[in-house]
Amino acid sequence: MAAEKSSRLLQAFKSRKILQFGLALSCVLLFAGIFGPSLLVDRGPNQISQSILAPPSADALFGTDELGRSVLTQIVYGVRTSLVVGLAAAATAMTLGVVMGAISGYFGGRVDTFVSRITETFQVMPTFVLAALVVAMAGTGMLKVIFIIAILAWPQSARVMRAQVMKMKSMEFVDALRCLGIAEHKILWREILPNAIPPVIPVGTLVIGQAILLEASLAFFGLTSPEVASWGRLLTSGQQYFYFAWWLTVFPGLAIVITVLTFNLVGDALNQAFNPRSGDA
Amino acid sequence: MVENTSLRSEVAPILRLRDISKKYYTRDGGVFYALKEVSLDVMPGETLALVGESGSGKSTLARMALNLAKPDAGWVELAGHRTSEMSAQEMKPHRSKIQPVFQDSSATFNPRRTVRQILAQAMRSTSNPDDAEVEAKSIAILEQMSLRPAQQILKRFPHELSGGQRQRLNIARAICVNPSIIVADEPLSGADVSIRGKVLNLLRDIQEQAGVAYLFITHDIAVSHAFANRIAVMHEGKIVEYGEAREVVESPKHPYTKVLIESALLGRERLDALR
Amino acid sequence: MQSTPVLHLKDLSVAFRGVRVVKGVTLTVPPGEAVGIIGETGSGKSTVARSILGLLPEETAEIGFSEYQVEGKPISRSAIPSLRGGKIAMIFQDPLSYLNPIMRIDKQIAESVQLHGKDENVDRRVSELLDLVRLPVSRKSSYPHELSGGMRQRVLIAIAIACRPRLLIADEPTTALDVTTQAKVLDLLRDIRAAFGTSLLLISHDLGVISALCEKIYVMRHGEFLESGSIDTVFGNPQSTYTSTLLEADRLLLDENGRFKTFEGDQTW
Repeated sequence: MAAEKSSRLLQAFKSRKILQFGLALSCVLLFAGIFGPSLLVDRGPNQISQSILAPPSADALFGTDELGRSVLTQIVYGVRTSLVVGLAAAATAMTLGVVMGAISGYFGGRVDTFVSRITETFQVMPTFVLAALVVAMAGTGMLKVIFIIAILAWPQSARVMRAQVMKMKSMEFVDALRCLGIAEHKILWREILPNAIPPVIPVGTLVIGQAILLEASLAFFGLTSPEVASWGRLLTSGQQYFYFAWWLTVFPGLAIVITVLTFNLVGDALNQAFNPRSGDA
Repeated sequence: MVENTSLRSEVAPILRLRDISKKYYTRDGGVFYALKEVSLDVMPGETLALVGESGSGKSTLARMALNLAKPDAGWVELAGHRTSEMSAQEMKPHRSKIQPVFQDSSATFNPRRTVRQILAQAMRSTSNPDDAEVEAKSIAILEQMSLRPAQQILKRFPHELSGGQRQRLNIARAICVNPSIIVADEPLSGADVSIRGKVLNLLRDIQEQAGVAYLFITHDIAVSHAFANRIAVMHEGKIVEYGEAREVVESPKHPYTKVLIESALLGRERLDALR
Repeated sequence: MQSTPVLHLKDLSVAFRGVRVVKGVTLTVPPGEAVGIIGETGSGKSTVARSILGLLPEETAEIGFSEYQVEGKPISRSAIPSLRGGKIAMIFQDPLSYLNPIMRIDKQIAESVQLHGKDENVDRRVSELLDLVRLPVSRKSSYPHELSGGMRQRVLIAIAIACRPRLLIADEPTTALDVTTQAKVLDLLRDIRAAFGTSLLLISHDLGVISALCEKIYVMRHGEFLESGSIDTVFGNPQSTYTSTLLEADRLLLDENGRFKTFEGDQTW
């Protein structure tokens, strides 16, 4: 099954242009996030040039802002923020979701009811309002943003995990292990978990996109630290010049759209690869 | 079979199931008995076939025998110990005495473990053998199952084995902890006729060498007749007939047993006439 | 003079991604007769059944034949799908996956009637069919999941015969059922054949099931028909060792050492 699955993934990768495209794009983003700022070291985000509000040209590909800073450079610095927030939030949400979902699905009964109520509570909460409220009360900071996104996003992976574990706990191999006297917690963490996680990965990938979007929204409303470069913040500051300097908002906006789309495409393609029936197969 | 009858008077049963009941509440508030006051004894070294159709309760009873589920009433005794009243911790030292063999499916083994890991895990669950011991015993057991070449088989994943090979690995996993009784739940279901005989021969060889008893759960009364010493017929949560295999099949008393035998004979009278 | 066969398929070959699973078999089903194909897992018997109605995945399966006739009329490759549910109908081992889970069964049967019937009174035809497959009237507006396996198979049979096919292909129709239910479903198939003269092509691994219904059989192994003929000839005087060993293994005969007779060698398992 394991090898079957990995070969299926490989096949999905080969046959699905979307997955290839999405993964290529995320590689570009990752590269930009990691190496971009150091490549632009001689002109940081606040590097001021002579030309103020200059339209896109060979000198500044995406134009400059009201202080003469290159929009491209600022976008490249923003990649790092977006990726760090997106990946960290998704990883935290997935870890939390996997653990809670596994416990809930495996032990069932009251534990399950309790965890399910919590996930439902979190799922009905209006994400942005809650995030804005917490940041407004507790103050800005990247860690806080990551934490709040993770707290709001974990129920999605928890639900998938719970269903997976519930399906697997009644399989014969689990009974066989019980008959050998192997402890329940060992069965859950060592035997069931590795088999149950793969379908959770696409859900986690989708969370990356949601997290990036939420971070941009918070920044747009000025609810993140002004010292951290962010696409949302670029949008806000560009807003007032929208009618005569479109490049200040269009390029950061495109960056957000493309990045979120990238992770959604990857997530969707992975989802189809893991559950062939839900997709176009 | 004569030996068995004499055995029964002197030797204690390896597995005793007494007055076992299991009930479920239906959605409309009614009570449904999956098992109703079921009693069975399995003697050391014998084969008792538990025959029934789907929903008869035979698999629920198997789970109780294996202590994977607890009865609502009644008790299970394994080699003189009341296992049905034990906690997981108390049960642990008795686990290796009773082992399951399941019908072959993709769920029989953890798909991420190799044959080597599957067998090692079983052996290490009861004792602390070193790597060399585990390796030697694994190879010996695979040889005994004619899973050859054993060195190669050890490296494989379950899905890389054929159906027949997987079924033998299933048996290998059970016998590598030296159980006194094996609960085989439909071990032949899904197996081709050509494989059926081989599995039965193998089970019989193991029984002769290790003296293991079988609680053989099946829907097939013809196989029970050929393979078991005794047969218990289950229908709607109750045992309707219980006796020596030959007696049950050749002179059935309960109408349900008669129907079961008739259905199994379907089309085969014609084959017999051709012989 | 021999009457025109309902189905005549000559030199059928099927390969999946270059692997030949059916190697040039010729199959003839005479009118009103019940023909069986017996074989074990991987023999290719289900592939034969599915290629008759063109039910194999087009991307992976390469199908070839030299002649395909239904009631004497040649059928071209592109005309195969039009046979489905008209001249030829099919039932399967697992009825649940062929029924619509969110549609009441009488509606599903009615759909089949409307699809193929001309100006029929649909309601009357549906109750007629339900009666025919002996499904209690009280269950007619059930959903598939509310029925037992045997009842679901009856629904599938009702859908299949709604259009009065000339040939009914049954692929392991009773394998998933309990033995007592199996007997009833086989009885039903037998009655349908007697009442309407429908020919039957029964695919099974079970010698008992085949013998209970069929006059003529094909023994299939590794993609080839090893032998064919009337049941009495093939099973009474088998020409291949495979057939005779199959018969011995089925009867659970013991050899002189008290071991179950079975196939020699390790390669079969």
